[in-house]
This record gives sequence, structure tokens and C-alpha cells, in this order.
Amino acid sequence: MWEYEKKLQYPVRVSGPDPAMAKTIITQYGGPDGELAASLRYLTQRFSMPINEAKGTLTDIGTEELAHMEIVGSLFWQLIQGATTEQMKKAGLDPHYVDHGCNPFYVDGTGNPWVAAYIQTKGDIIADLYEDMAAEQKARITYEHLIQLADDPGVRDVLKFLREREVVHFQRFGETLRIAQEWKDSKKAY
Amino acid sequence: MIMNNEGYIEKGKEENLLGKEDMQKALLYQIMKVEFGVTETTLYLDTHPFDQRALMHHNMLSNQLKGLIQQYEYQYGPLTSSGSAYRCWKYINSPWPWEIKW
Repeated sequence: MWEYEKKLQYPVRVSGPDPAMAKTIITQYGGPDGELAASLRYLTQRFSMPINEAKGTLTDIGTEELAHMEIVGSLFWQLIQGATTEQMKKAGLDPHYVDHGCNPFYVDGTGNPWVAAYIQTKGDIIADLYEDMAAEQKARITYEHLIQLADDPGVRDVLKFLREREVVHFQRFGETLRIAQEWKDSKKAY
Repeated sequence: MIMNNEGYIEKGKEENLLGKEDMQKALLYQIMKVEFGVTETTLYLDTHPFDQRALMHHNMLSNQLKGLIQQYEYQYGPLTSSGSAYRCWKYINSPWPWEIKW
């Protein structure tokens, strides 16, 4: 089960409204390489993992990704606070506002809704861990693209933190894959 | 917020310079820092379950975190829904994470 902690994993502070940046950042909330996709992918891959290191890693990284989703949602929300109607229109966020108000929603930067087809589990430790490592790399480069677009030092700081976490997760999944391969090899010895 | 390099409130300064809300934020920030350390050691231990140095580090941070959360909950109300509250259910009224101005 899960229990909510009333805090962010990393503090979010922005200098002022920037709906254009909010519109790009939303993809890490509900886009193909976003935090929702990451969390749901890892949490559903756990069930038939044959080794406990993999169950632990997927549970704990899947949980951390939920915390990242909250950070990205907070960034989005803070970036629209105080924005004028004109700014919202200029950023192209007016249709989002009509459908969802100031809340973040599970869409990518162009408004496509989140779909389960973004993610996969094959119920095979090798196939699933390779997908997870690829997912972390895609999330890393997405954050790098966002950092290139961001001017606000506060926004950049949060995005850099999130980028760094993807690198750490990639490392942990790589170690899990090595342990999985050793486990497979050990089963072949007679 | 008044922090030294370790993220702790500098003794003696807090009462003069920090308002009640800032004190709460400072303690919450300290909890966030220590808990991030716990997250890191947890992920590391998931793939290095016999690493004695990591285990020691994890246990130290974990104990520190428990103490800080207890202190926070006593002063400001529950950080999690299973936390203890005194006099009234402060859980709903303490600042929600996305609304805090850091």
C-alpha cells in the first residue's frame, strides 16, 4: 500500500507566471516519457519478477516517480498562477484552461491524452528491464530539452533535479539487469 | 530561511529572525533533505543488500528522519495521515506541498 506524505520530494519555486513553459512541462506529467507513464510501468512490472532485487527496485523507483509527478504538477500549477488571459492565449494554453482550469492533466505538450500503449510489461525480467533503462534515458533527454527552453532559474533547478534522478534510476536498473543475468546464468549450472 | 551548509537552522538565530511559518518551513525542508538521503540509500540497497557501509548510513538517516518527523508532527500536525495530532486534526490545515512558497 501507499501512504501520502504532505511534502514534495524537492521544493518547487518559480519567479512568476510562464504559461508557455507550463505547456511544455506538462508532457512530463502525462506524456509518453513522463512521470505517470514511468510510475505505472514499473509498478505493474513487479508482480512476476523472479528476483527480489527487481521487485524492490521497481517498487521503490515506481513510488519515487509518483513523487516526481507531484513535483511536475506543482511546477505546472505554479507557472499558471497569476497569468493573464492574454498570456494564456499567447501560450496556447487557453484550450487546456477551458477543459481543466489551472489543474495539470494527463496530456503531452500538444494535448494528446495519456494512453497505456505508451508503456509495456512482458512479464520477462530481461525484456522489462531493458524497456525501463530505455524509459529512463528518454525521460532524461526530455528534461534536457525542457532545461534548454527554460529561463527561470527556479524552474531550471527543479528540472535539473528531476533529470539527475533519471540518471540514478538508469544506474539502479542497470545493476538490477546485471543481477538478473547472473541469476539466469546460475540456473543453467548443473 | 536560515540554514547552514548541512541544512540545519542556525541555533539562536531562528527565534529572532524567523516567523512561525518560516520555522515550520525550515523544519520541513530539513525533513525533505534527510528523507532524500533515505530514498537514495534505499534504492542503492535494493541492488546492494549486503553493503555494510550503505546499511549503516541508511539506518543513521532513517533514525534521524523519525526524530525530525516526530518533532514536526508535535509542533505542526501530521505529515502523513497516520501521524499523531493534538487538540485538532491539523493535517488538513498545514500548508499543502504545491502551495508552499519556498
